[in-house]
Amino acid sequence: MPSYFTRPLSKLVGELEKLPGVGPKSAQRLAFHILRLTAEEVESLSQAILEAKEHVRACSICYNYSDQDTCEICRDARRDRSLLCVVADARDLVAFERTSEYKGLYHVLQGVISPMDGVGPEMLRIRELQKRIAEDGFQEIIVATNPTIEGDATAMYLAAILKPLGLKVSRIAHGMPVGGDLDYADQATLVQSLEWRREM
Amino acid sequence: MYLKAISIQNYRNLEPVSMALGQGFWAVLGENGQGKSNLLEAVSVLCMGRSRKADRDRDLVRFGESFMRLEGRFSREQRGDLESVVRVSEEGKELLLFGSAVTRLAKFIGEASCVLFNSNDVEMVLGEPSGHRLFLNEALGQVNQAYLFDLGRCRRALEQKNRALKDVRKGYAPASSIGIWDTQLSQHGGRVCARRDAFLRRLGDEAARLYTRLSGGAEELETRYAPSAGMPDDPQRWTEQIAERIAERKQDEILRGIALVGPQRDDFTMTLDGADVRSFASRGQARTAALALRLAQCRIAFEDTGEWPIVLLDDVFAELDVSRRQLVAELAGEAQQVFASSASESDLPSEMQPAARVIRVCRGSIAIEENAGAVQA
Ligand SMILES: Nc1ncnc2c1ncn2[C@@H]1O[C@H](COP(=O)(O)OP(=O)(O)O)[C@@H](O)[C@H]1O
Ligand SMILES: [Mg+2]
Ligand SMILES: [Zn+2]
Repeated sequence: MPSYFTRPLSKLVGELEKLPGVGPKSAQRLAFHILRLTAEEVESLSQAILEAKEHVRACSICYNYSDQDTCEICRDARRDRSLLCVVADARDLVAFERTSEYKGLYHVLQGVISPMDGVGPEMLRIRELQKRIAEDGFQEIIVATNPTIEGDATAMYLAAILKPLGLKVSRIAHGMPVGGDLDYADQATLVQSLEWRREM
Repeated sequence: MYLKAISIQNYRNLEPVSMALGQGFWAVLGENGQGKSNLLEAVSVLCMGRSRKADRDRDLVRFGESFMRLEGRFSREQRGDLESVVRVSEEGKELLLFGSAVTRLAKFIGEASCVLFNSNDVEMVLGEPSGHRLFLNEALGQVNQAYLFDLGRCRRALEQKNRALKDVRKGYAPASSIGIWDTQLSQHGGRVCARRDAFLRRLGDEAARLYTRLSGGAEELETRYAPSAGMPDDPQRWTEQIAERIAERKQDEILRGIALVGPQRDDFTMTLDGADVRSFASRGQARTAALALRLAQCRIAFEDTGEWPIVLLDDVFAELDVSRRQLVAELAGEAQQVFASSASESDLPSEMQPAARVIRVCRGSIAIEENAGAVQA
């Protein structure tokens, strides 16, 4: 770390730099910002970090983040218990929830299969998913992993183990953004939206 | 399409310069080692977002400097003017179109287009399949963004598959874990191969025609796609073709820990009257084949985008006889803008000389000289 920072400051910069999406420059900016905060503000920030770490855990059913043993969604009696949406990450779940359109339940895999990152299927919540499906009587499983190579491969892996169970397994469509202007959509997106077209 | 203005900062050995350019022939003159090729390369980097020659973007930065920056204003007939910037610094590469960052190379390539001819093209023609694939990716990617997208996905699938194969070989994972990557590779690879096949048929026809003109009808050039998975009987079945070949070689792939079938192993072959150029062509024939390929690349870009790419002829005339020089000048002269570099003005074809404006390059300094008989911009 640069020697022109005093030790505690360069330690803070170093810790911030470890965060995803934070480069050396942003780390410095954040560190200087923190130093300008009042003692109470800094106290409240560090408390928030500690508390989040201490109290937030994975829901024992769906592996969404929760401050209790099961998350709000799994406890919510109004949710449609015949529908299960499988996502890679709790962030994807949040994206679906924002739409307030989807009323079913979720299952968070906690990642995607990626040999390059040393992640095999056994490291994801797939066994837990199989168990849930065996016990909970879903009618349809929606696989909502991202349309990346790893997301697609993971979806394919899931389809291979879920289809034999005689369930309806679907994959979310990807392609044109809603309200997207055909002129401005790049060729690749157009090609993909053609491939994922559905009958009307 | 043509470059209206370029500004260069810390690019290789070039001194900082901003200059207005215009349509027509530009002769880039100077002794060897002065920076002529660097100037032409700079123009190609502004179009392709990277250099064909440099392995690392950092090599483009002038020794001892921390960044380089290229800025170009292009006039385009079909899509209106374009402003693009390529900047390489210690933090990496930035590509800008109209001042906005473009995060994917695939979205940058093809906005402005050029075709760079140089003496390495002969090595490409005579050389390894990897060089042929590079040529193909550049020529096809330039006119087809979707191809670059598919290619990117294909590469990612391949990387994952190779890692999965190694894991299986070492006993870390069961052989069944490879299947999902095989499927990804054959799906995306299938699209890559289908596009390569269609493109090479067109390119091959053009190149054959051009070769006949350039060689005075001496021999017939044939260019053929040589996909590692072999040709499917039905052009709709590339994905199945690749998947079947992969399945056949499964044991081999696991044993060696590397994928043996797919677009990453494709090639195309060229023959003159049936004889493989790589094994039988003379240097002169290979040079003519290389010229025919590059000119065909220009023509296809014209057909697909409605305008000629900027033509960059880096030291190609010195190696050609007088009649061939004239012909190349004539064929390339269909472009709106041509830059031709040479250490000696007399190597430039006579029909270029009076019309050309001269860019003089001396120890990295670039200056425009108006020739006596120059036409205006
Ligand atoms: N990154 C760089 N920084 C400074 N000089 C460079 C860099 N890359 C190449 N050069 C120099 O550029 C010169 C070659 O220029 P080039 O354009 O190939 O000359 P020519 O006029 O013969 O085409 C060499 O002297 C080489 O050392
Ligand atoms: Mg040179
Ligand atoms: Zn839950």
